[in-house]
Amino acid sequence: MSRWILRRLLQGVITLAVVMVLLFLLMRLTPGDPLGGIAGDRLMSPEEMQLLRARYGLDQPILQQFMTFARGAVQGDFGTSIHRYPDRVGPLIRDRLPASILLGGTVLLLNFTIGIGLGVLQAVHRGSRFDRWLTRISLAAWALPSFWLGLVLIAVFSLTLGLFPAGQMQDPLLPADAGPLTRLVDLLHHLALPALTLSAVSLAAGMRFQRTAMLEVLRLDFVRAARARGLPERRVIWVHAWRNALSPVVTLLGLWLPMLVAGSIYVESIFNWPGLGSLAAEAISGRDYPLLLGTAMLTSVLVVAGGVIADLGYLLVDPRVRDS
Amino acid sequence: MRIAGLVLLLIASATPAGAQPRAPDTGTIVIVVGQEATTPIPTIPATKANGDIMSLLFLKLARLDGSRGTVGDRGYTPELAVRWSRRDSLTIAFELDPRARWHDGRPVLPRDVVHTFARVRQPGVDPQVRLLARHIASVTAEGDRGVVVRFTLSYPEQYYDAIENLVPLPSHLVDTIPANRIASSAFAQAPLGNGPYRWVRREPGRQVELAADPNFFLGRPKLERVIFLLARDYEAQINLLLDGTADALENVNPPARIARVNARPSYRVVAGPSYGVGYLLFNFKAYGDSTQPHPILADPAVRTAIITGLDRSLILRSTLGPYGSIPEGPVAQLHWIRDPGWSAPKADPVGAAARLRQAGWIDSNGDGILDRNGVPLILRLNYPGTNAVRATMAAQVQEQLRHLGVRIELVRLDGPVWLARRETGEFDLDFSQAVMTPSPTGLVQSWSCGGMSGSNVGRYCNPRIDSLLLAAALGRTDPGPLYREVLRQIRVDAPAVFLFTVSNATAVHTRFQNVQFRPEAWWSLLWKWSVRPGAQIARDRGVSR
Repeated sequence: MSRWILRRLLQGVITLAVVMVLLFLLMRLTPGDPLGGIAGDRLMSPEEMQLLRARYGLDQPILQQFMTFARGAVQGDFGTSIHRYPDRVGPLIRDRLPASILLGGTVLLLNFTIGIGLGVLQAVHRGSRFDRWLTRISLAAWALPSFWLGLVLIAVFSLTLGLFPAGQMQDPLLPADAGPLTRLVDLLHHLALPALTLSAVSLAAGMRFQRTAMLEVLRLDFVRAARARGLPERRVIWVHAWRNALSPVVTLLGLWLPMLVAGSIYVESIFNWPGLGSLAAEAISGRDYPLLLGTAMLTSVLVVAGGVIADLGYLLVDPRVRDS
Repeated sequence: MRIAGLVLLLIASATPAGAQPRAPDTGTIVIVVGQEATTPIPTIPATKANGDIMSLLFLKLARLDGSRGTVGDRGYTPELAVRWSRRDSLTIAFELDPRARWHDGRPVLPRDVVHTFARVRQPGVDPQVRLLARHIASVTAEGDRGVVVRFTLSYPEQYYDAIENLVPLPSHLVDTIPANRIASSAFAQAPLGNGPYRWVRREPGRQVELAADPNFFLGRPKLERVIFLLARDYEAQINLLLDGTADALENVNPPARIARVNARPSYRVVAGPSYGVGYLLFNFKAYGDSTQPHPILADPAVRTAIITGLDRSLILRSTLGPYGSIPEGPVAQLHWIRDPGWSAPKADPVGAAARLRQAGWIDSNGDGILDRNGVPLILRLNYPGTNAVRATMAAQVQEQLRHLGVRIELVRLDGPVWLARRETGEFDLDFSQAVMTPSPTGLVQSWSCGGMSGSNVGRYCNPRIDSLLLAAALGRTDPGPLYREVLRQIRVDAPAVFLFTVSNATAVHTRFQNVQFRPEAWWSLLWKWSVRPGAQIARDRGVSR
């Protein structure tokens, strides 16, 4: 078991090393000058451009630039942001992390409670009116582009009904010394629409996966045997059947884990949510190499970690995997 | 029941405590901006975001008045300097206002100005800043309040250069910080200035907060709290305005967006002229090869035909409505060198077609595209896809020129790619937009032969323009006629289609009165704004919503 974990971790490290090289090269191959838009519409002199190139090390040979990047990346230092000079990439990411974890965590929580619960209930009541309507609704939600849904929710609930703010994570006028309860209420108020936007789509996916997995398990002999032994139906469903229908959901969890931190570029942008997704969008549009590499590396780490966690999850929920 | 009680208790306890009573015309303003201010201090090249906040924290010796004239000593309003006089053709003396104070209570002294100039001259300072003060030989203190600026030569814009480029820093706080380290210093993270507002805090990536300086020597600001809220996405910006989170948003063009703002009774649009100008730049050199002339656009007949064939006023009206005008050359609405008698010539597609025919361009194969010696008249027009105004105008240019037999291939590019292609000359036509400085000396950068190593990416070169610009900038005669001759010559040479100058349309909450803007630093007159009596909302009384 411990050898298996070690092997997976080693694979992860190798994957990350390859990703690091590829990310660096791809970024340099992408057309566009990171210094281009730094002064907005003001024209910069060649001397000014030269000074800025030297400041960010862009005047160095590409190999040296990579070595500097790799040395820093290993120590978790991605340098200084080009468009937010003199802010360092590390603290910028650290500042944005809580917002992304909050939004992503809320979405994951909703998916793995409501989404899975509804998926199980759909499977149990297969063919009923409840199942058919939920199927229609979940398919429609799954097909919705989240940025479009976000704009519609803003138009209805913010600009028309005035029930929720159109964006931000907190009221910009909230006093610095506001109490924790004031902050919590304000936070939930601002969280509602972006969380609903992201959940509507991913929750539908969770429901569909869980319904299908549960339907397959409910057909199996051991479920029939449990019922024949006279076990209460609730116990049959949630203890015997559901545990065996968890594997696909564990896969989903592994896939969604990066989303927890990396956030959603579109949804964070339209809600002005100060998370890593909007930070990455900003880095991409400005070709802010250090910031872009920092956010991309973090996402890569999470993708690798998600895979490892999903594998560990299989070990926990499925004894057959453990035995093999 | 117990849960409902708990929720009620939670909400009740979350209500902010009673606010401090405030005067009925004071208030708070939240401004949405698209760019973050990270170093709003003098001696660092100002981005728009840094410049906006810097103008509220730091005063200049004087500022341009409504005439926007940059020649001579008239056309300025006192700020830190209470008066100034010329001693000889190379020397100007300023007298600082004795009431001027830094936000820590210390007086603004001549040594602050002297220190700032010394800092600008140090190696490691951005060349753009050094370049602006290149004709200043020395700055010395004279007594308790006097500052004497000496120049290396006599030229028309001495006052302008001194006033624009010597924005004092508090020497008692920054004298130990090397010039090339100030951007990353603690001072830059919490700057202390002498303007109407003092620094409160910056939440990186979110907002910057300023508070009124009650002791501001030119009068206490009525708006006690100013918050610059960062939202990069344009849709998010306008939504934050319309849902009441923010009170003001700059650049709400084009008219469709202005209509969204006007549909809300709580907001109005205030437009003011700007230093922005937009133009279609012709590439005089071959696509991506600066050693060869452009096979089509090197011919002035083609360039002139494109200019006269376009109905610029139709493009302008349909894209910007009343918030723009056609420029007479590379000058914005506010430049004093504009000829008030000039009016845009009417479009002449028939004349343009005849001109192209005379130049040998005919549709030999009937495909609707003119050709000459087997070369079709096809041009690639690069533009940044994120700019709605330019994207709309580019499509109209394409359609209008199609009727002339000129095929325009629109190349919509990501901002950094568009800029990179400008630099490498990978375009036939480039949809440029520039925010110019009030001084027309900046024309050298983009329209002189000397500028070809830098900003003159179209590689237009007429030595006569260079000598006219040099004579206007450094000569002893009135530069006005020389600059107007530059504009006339540029119109003759046709290096670009000058399409629009744009008004800065700003959405502002209707509760504010005495709303005024300065084109050089848009928000710098916020301290003169106030809230209409009886129109205060919760945030004006110090309560969050």
